[in-house]
Amino acid sequence: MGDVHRVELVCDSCRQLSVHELRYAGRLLASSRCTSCGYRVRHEEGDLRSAYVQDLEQRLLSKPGRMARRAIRHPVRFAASLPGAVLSKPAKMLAEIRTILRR
Amino acid sequence: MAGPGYRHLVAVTPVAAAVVLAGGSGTRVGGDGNKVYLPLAGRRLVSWALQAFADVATVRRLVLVVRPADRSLAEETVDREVRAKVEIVDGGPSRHHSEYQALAHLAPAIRHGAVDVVAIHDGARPLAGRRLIADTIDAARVYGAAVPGLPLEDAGVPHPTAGVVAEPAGRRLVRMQTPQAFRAGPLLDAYECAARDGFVGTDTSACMEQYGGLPVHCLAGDPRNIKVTYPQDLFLAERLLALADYRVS
Repeated sequence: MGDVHRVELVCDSCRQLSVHELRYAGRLLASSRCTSCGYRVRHEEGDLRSAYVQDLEQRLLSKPGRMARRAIRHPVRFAASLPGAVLSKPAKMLAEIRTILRR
Repeated sequence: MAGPGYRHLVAVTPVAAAVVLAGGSGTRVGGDGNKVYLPLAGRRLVSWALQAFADVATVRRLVLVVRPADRSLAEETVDREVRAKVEIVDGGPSRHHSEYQALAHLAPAIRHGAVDVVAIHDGARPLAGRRLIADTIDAARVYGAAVPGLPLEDAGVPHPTAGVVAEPAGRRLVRMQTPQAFRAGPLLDAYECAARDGFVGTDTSACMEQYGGLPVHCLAGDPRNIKVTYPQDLFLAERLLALADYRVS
């Protein structure tokens, strides 16, 4: 899952079904923007930061279980993807933190 | 090992099938895809509903109806995020056609009596709880057709000359939700009749009312069972999941 998704939703402001740009920080939705009228919805700054920290804690706690499930279901695919996943993690975390700071 | 008594128990255990609709209709330029595959608290939106159905004991078959273009994404999502067997079926150009495709897929089991109730759910409703699902299926067994709904407060109805007027006395307007559950045989018959007549209903209960001949029982819906339509709904769904410790009950 990348950190920006573009899908059709109904805009809270212009009430049109239009493409919205959704920006995620980790598992959390940080902001949405209607590409038709530009209307943005986003978390309160402090609220997003505390939610992110809480969510990160939950992600870290559940990570071993998630990895174990993947390893059991697809051992070869899991082993092959592990080095890439480990190497790319720091960059992903930095991108998440940048999103939180910028929104 | 199983004696005659055990075989009897197996024979009468009611079995429901669940159909989750993920067809969507997003077609505008610039949109990457279907909202049911958006991330929501660590899973894709549709996975929450699929797992909730999978966790209901009486649901033994789980069908996900997808756009053909989304098939590989759907397969990857199910494989990674749902701890249950999910049968993936290509949908049609409308909700009605997608439902018919799912019912056609289940038809052999329905005709043999292996599936007695079919629950149809909108994949854009990630927070349908296990209790709501189970209650809806149970109600469908009793009444033939069951739909959860919430009273529509301060509702008005369009009037040809007076604009919008207060709801008529003696009538209560209800906002319908999904899952909508039906006895499987009459539901399949209704969709086959609709296909012969070229009838296209707006939702499952519309087709059932037209051809099924069964009154639709309305049971209490759940205000948390929101449909993701506006961006705000995603923020709300995320918050509701966090408050429930990421468990849909």
